[in-house]
This record gives sequence, structure tokens and C-alpha cells, in this order.
Amino acid sequence: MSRTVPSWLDDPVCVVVGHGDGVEAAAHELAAAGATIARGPITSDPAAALGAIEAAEKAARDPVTIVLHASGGQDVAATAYGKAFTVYLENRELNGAFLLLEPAGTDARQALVELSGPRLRANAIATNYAYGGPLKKLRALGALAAYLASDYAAYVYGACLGVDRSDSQQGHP
Amino acid sequence: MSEHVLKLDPPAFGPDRNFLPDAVFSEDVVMILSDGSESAQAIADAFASVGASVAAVGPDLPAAKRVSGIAAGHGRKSLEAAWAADPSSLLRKAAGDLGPINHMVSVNVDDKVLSAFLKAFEGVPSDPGMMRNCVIISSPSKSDQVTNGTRQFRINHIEVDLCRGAEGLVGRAGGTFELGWAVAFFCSPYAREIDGQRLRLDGGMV
Repeated sequence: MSRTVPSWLDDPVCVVVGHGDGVEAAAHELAAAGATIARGPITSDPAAALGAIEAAEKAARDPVTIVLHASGGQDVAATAYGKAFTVYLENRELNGAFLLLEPAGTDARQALVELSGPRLRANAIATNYAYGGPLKKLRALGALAAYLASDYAAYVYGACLGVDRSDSQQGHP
Repeated sequence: MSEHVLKLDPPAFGPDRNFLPDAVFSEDVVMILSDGSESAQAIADAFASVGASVAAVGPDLPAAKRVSGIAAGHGRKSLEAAWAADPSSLLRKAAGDLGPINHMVSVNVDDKVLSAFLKAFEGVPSDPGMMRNCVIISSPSKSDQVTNGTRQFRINHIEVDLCRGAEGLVGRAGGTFELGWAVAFFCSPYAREIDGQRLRLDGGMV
């Protein structure tokens, strides 16, 4: 992909968890918008998740303030990373953004309630393009991810969006 | 609508920093339907600051001028009109004076007025490659009867409450410029595939 989004991010470190073309597109656009990308393993262990976040911080020499989590509908609440990231941010007195990327039809509302807190702004993208699709759709998915993760969306909490009407027709968001 | 909004900046920066690249809307025209509120002015600023011309339509000319004046302040072309005018005629006039309308933004406008303008917007012939879209802004509780159905342009919806955030997780009221950024994002080339979505802009759940 040669087209990039504007510099919406001020050089944060973002831990990306999950696989698929949608995740890669989001990671690509987050990087293009200014983020440093680190990868984290899929895990249900909060200690392992915290280890991945701290490893990313150590490698990037900057704190992690964004987590992009795609579980393929297996762990929509991002249990391990949610707990780990909350602890991590509290220990460092930082604010962060958590972005869920799940298949269309996923009801992320409860997960967003559980994840959100005074230090953690959680939003979700639920789309048919989470694991692939036309390039233009993946670019839009990436741009949406970059916007939601940025401080320009600092007032957006608990939002769940798709990319197009094919996502909306499945009942949610 | 309520305009009791505290001007608290989001983290790190405020409305003086452009959200989109300069001139990204330099060939675009946005029509803003509103009562001339601060929210509508912030939306006009988000567009005009990066090149857009603004056609402001309100219940009367003074209300419309509060919005078009923002574009004029940026040195952009603008016009103002009252929504009692025939929407189709108004769109033709705007096209003649400013250029074809690319974006239509409705800010807490009555369904009857909005429906008439959407119908007129749909009836305007456009080039196949021209990006046309609409953003409907309303309070969270408002129904969405107007924007249901298939349209010849993209429609996205923003449910906004800039006051509620003071009692929510964000712990502050929203800035009108944050609404402007959200609208500009949906109308930007980066979001040209995003359609039929509903963004909640309310500062979070408690």
C-alpha cells in the first residue's frame, strides 16, 4: 500500500495482537500515521500480555500507549491484554487507547464497557474485512483504526464501527 | 441544541492544529445545514481550514452567516441561505457560485428539512468519480428514519453529546472542534469507503 494517512499519531508505541489482512492493514496505517509497531502473542495469560507490552516498551525505548487486538471472535474482551494494559498504564500514570478489531456481527459492547477506564479509552471495529478484502476497504479500515487510536478521537469512548453497510447489515454496530 | 460546552482541550493539542493535510478539501464544497451553533461553526472551521468552500444554510440568514463567516475568515469562498428556499434551487445556486456540493452536513436539523435537502442532493447529477457523502449529526436518542435506505452517496451518522463526557470516563466536556474533526474524517479521502456507520461521540460510558 503506497497511500498513507496523515500524521495523526505523535510517535506512540503500539502493540499489535492477532493475524490477518485487516490487522496488517491497520498496523500499516498506524505506522504510517506515526506509530512504532510491536507484535504481541495471542494469549489468555495477563502476565504474558504484560510481558509483551513491557518488551515492546524496552525495544522501542518509549512507553506503549496503544494496543490493537484481534482475536477472531475468540476473546472479544481481550481479557489478558485488557488487564495487563490497565495495570501497565496505571503503574506509569499514562493514558492509552485500546482498539478491538473483530469480525462483523461481533457484539463488542460489553467488552468495551469492561475495557474502558479513566486511563484506557477503548473502541472497536467490527467488520467483514477483519481478515481480508479489497485493498480500498482495507485502507479504509486502517484509516479508521488510525483515527480512533489518535488523540483527535480523544472524546470517542466505547464506539463500535464497521467499514461499510455490509458490516451494519449484520445487526451490529 | 445545548451549547453549554466547556472549551477543554483534548490531550496534547487543541483546535489550532490541522487534523487533515492542508488543501485536502481545496476542490471541495461542503453544505452545512444548522442553526448557526458553535458546533456548526467548528465543523465549518474543520473544512475551511484545509481548503473547502462552505455553503451555509440555516433557519434564517443571520444563523447561516455565523457559519459561512468561518469560511470567509479562512479566505474561502462561501455563501449563506435560509432553508425556506427550494433545496434544489439552492443546490444549483451553490454549484454555480462555489462548485458542485461534495459534502452535506446536517447539525441537529429537523427531519423534514433534512429529508428535503437529502432528496435534492440525491437528484443532483454528479461525475462518477466524484466523492459525495453526507454526515448527519444528532443527539444520541434521536431515531434514524431519515438516513435509512439506499442512497447515491455515502451517509454516516454521529450521535453527539459534548456535555455528558464531564460525568463520563473522559472526565471533561467535549470540544466542538472534536466534533469538527470527526465530521472531517468521515468526509475525507481516507474514509471514502466508510458508509452507513454510526459514531458515538459522548465521552464514554460511566
